[in-house]
Amino acid sequence: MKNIKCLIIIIVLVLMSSVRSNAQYNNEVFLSYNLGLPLGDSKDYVSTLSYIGTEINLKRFVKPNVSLSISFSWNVFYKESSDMISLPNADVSGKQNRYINTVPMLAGAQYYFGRNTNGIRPYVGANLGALYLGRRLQIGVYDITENTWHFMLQPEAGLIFNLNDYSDAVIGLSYNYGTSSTSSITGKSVSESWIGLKFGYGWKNGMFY
Amino acid sequence: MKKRNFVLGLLMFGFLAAASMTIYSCYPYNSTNPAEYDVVVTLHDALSNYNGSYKKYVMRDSVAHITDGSAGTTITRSYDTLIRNKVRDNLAAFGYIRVYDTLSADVVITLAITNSTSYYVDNYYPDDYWGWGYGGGYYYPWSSAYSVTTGSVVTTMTDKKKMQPGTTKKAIVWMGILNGVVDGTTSSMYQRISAGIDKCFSQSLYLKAQ
Repeated sequence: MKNIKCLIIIIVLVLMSSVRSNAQYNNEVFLSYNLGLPLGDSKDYVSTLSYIGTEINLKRFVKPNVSLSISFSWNVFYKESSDMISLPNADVSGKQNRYINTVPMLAGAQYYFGRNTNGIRPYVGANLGALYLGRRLQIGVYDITENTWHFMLQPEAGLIFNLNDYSDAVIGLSYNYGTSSTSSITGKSVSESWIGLKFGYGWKNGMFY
Repeated sequence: MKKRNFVLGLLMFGFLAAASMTIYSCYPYNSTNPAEYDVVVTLHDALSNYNGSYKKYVMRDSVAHITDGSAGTTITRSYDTLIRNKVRDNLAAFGYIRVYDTLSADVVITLAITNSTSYYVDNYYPDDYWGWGYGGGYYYPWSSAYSVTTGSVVTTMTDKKKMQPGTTKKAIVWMGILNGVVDGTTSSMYQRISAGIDKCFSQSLYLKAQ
């Protein structure tokens, strides 16, 4: 975990630097607030909307309407429950705290419709990479935590709003899917999936220009 | 515009630096109320085995006390009467009749209290540092130790007909366990034990006598 924190800091510092261009920009850094709506197995475990989420995204425009990107994001899904858990020969009651922490690390490409001087440009994209996942169940004084790595896919679409020569705003929708693995909490093979909605602000040519 | 962007960038960088320190380790909830750590577990046979045939029970008046032998883990007798009365009342509500002759009983009810103390040590390894003039180094790690005492109230129902004479094999058909942190005032312990035993039976409606 310490290594992941260091990696995050390094990525943040790298994203702060960029090549300055007066005529047009090649790089853009987006910082977004993310919401997450769990689906499938994720919803079975935690059914509530995630209000804790953030994303940092570096885009490099290889063409005026095509960008490559790397992104690093984090969402927390949490549910407090008192529902009884029924097992084959046992029933368990008690206050439960269920958590899912998702940390996708993705690379991908996006295509933008219209000119880069337009006020609003729709875009579509696809990302893939790794998902670092933490699931935790607290019931009574008992605490079960599991941390796993998954392969992840993320198709996305959204709108970019050209605010001025230095910044953009973005609203994006994504479908996030992490491949399945056996959970030590439930004993079942589970995959992670959720719908992401982000609201972000972008700095053209980095944050300090 | 450039200045505003620069200030915004600084603010966002500060936010990211702070977020990266806590990223992934977000667990929004933590309670200091011992009652919220109570767990009720009921173990049972296949539900088809409960056909309302259990009607009469015999129950010892004494409650067994089982400790792990740790220092300071003696169990008070203050709650024995409460436990006995709550189990008796719940069985009566389920239509059971208490008898005092083992030969005429369908099931045998036994009561027990257990506790155990677990000790934990957390080790902290701070990062290295650099200082002007005298170079860098490492902070010494430090540790903190704490203990948690948990207790369980265990109610066991044994089918007398399934007991095999001459062997130690018994037929436990149901077990209700209330487990929690041994902490709080006497009145809160009374309330928690009472509610926990009630919960054992309320989630075991298949035990009802016909």
